[in-house]
Amino acid sequence: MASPGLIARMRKTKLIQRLMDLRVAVVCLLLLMVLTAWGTIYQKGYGLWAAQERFFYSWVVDGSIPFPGGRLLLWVLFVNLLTATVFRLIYRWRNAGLILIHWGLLVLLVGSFVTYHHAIESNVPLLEGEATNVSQDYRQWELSIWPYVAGAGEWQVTAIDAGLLRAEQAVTLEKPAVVVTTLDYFPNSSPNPDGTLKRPAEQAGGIAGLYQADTNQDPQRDVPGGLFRLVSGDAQATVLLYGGLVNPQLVTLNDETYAVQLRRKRYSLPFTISLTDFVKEEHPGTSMPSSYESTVRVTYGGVDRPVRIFMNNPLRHHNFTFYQASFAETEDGEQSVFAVVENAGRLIPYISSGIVFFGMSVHFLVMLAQRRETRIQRKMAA
Amino acid sequence: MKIVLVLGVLGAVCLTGCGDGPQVRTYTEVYTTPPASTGGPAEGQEQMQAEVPQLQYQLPTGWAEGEAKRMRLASFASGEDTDGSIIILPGNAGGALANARRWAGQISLEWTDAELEAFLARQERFVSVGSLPVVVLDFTPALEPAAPSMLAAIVVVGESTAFVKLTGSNEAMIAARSGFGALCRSLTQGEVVAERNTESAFRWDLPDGWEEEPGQGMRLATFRVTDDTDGLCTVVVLNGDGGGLQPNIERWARQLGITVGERASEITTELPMAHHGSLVLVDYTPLTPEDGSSMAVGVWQLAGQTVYLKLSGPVSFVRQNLPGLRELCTSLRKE
Repeated sequence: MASPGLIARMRKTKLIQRLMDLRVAVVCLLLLMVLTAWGTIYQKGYGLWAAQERFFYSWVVDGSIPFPGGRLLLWVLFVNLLTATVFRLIYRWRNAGLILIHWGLLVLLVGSFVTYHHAIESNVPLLEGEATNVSQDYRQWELSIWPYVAGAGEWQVTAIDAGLLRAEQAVTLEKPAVVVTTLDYFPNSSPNPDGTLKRPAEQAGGIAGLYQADTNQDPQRDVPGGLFRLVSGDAQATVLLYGGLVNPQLVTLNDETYAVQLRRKRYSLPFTISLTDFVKEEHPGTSMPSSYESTVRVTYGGVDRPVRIFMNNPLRHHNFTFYQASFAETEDGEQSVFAVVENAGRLIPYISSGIVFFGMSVHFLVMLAQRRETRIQRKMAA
Repeated sequence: MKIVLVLGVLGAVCLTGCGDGPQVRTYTEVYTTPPASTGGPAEGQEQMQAEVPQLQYQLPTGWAEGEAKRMRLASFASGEDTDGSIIILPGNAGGALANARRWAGQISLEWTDAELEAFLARQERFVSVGSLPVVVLDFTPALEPAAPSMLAAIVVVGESTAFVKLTGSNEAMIAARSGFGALCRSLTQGEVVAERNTESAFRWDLPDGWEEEPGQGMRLATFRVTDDTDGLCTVVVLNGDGGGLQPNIERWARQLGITVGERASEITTELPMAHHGSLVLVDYTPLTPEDGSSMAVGVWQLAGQTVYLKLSGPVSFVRQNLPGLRELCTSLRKE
């Protein structure tokens, strides 16, 4: 346990004094205000993802005049707040409110770090009557392989994250016992019969060729493709995969047929969700939707319950939140699209707000008591 | 105590930074396909069909009619392993660019928006015999013969949009291109076919310089102007009042992207008919931009039937051939 003497000695060092300087916090907050306004305007033209990446997830905003990014500012603010909480605040009962407010704000910043590093955003598109237990990422991809059984409604998928798909790199899978070697991989590609990658002669379907395309500013628009060799025992097959294909390619190795697909990364949901009904209401006399909502069935642990999801009424289940994001009218029927956020730190902002509120209440009461005490002392002195 | 708290906070922050790198994962995937229709309309489809307009069409010779399922108004096939459908959705259903992007994705054409816009600009546009603006999206030139391919058409039907789609191998699509175009040209909006050309009791005198082609479906005849293929004229008969004159005037104006408002009297002329009552001629050329498409329609209401004579094409074509349409209208008679 550190002694109060150590804290007092450290408090006097120039480094700590600069780190806990109140002016640093004020400057950080002002810069964050500028960043928020700038990012909001930028988002209008370049989209949400680009604005997040450039202004809020970056250390420095690139441009002709370098500007500190949101990540840098939040870290500086965090260090400033932490040093102030430890070294400037004097821990006694009359400061209990202030101490609680500082710790509440620290918890809030920790919550933002948790969300940044661990929250997963994905989506689930569902037609009426369709059910699934996985969501799909917006930008990340995977190579999926599973034993193919026609008409099966459930299958065991082994997925290789796209980060492992590098040229000449082999990944050994245990189940199914297949070695997948990436012969070539394009993070963004375009199908073309004259492309640099050709469909192998033994491959029954799919596209004829692929060429490498430049990656987009927003990776959501990238569609990868690649040439892969699958080896199982003494059998092997080469397959050209393209992320734009809806159906998997079927590959037979040693009398076992596997479905192989390059697709957006899937995340397991803790339940199966099916769309029972989708209702869209329009403004009178127009085709502009005024509201839309989905009725889904959520099945988990033998429990099957109906849930309505609409604007400001998401489905919450443990760390998962399902928002009604959009809809589409397709040839196969109405399709509802849910934005899914899995966030282990989703309760942290509520906890920190509670701590800050409690701290402010305590501080208010302490100040009230102090004033009363001062007034009494003045009266006594008079 | 403070140091313990600081270490705790720093430890928590460090742990949050330990994200998962790329890895091999296994999971169980469950998927249930939407139930297929068992014949009758899907739940809610009856209501939808009552709200959206209906379409009439003529399948090319040799094409097979299929069972209409779910949202489909019609299913058809041009040959083996092809699948065609007509669906109609309220509004613009996302617009041409969004639908072209979706269709391109379905046949593995990952085009940028700029490429899609250039593609859309190259596609054939025409007005169907029922005066419905049609744009046909032909993806065949971009694909190799065995690749999955598609022909699609976006048809504006009043406030709704119809989608005609044919999928199959690119070879099959190339073979079906002319038939698909004919199918799209035959699209008309309305109720029931009244009388076919051969059985028609209507007669008319052909204006000088006009050529007559046999009709299809509810179309009694198609007229073309010799040496001018920009536009055409059609004669269509519908049972009843065809939805009423005023609503039709507004609907046609919407198809042309113009508003009539208080200028309805300016564009309508009543022509006395020798045999029965009078015919109302609606001429949109005064309201149409000089570089746009236009239309002139003669509407002759009879007891239980309405005859429409529509001249459509570029505004210059319609303006130039308006005397011919007047001549055709006034010569119309029922025998």
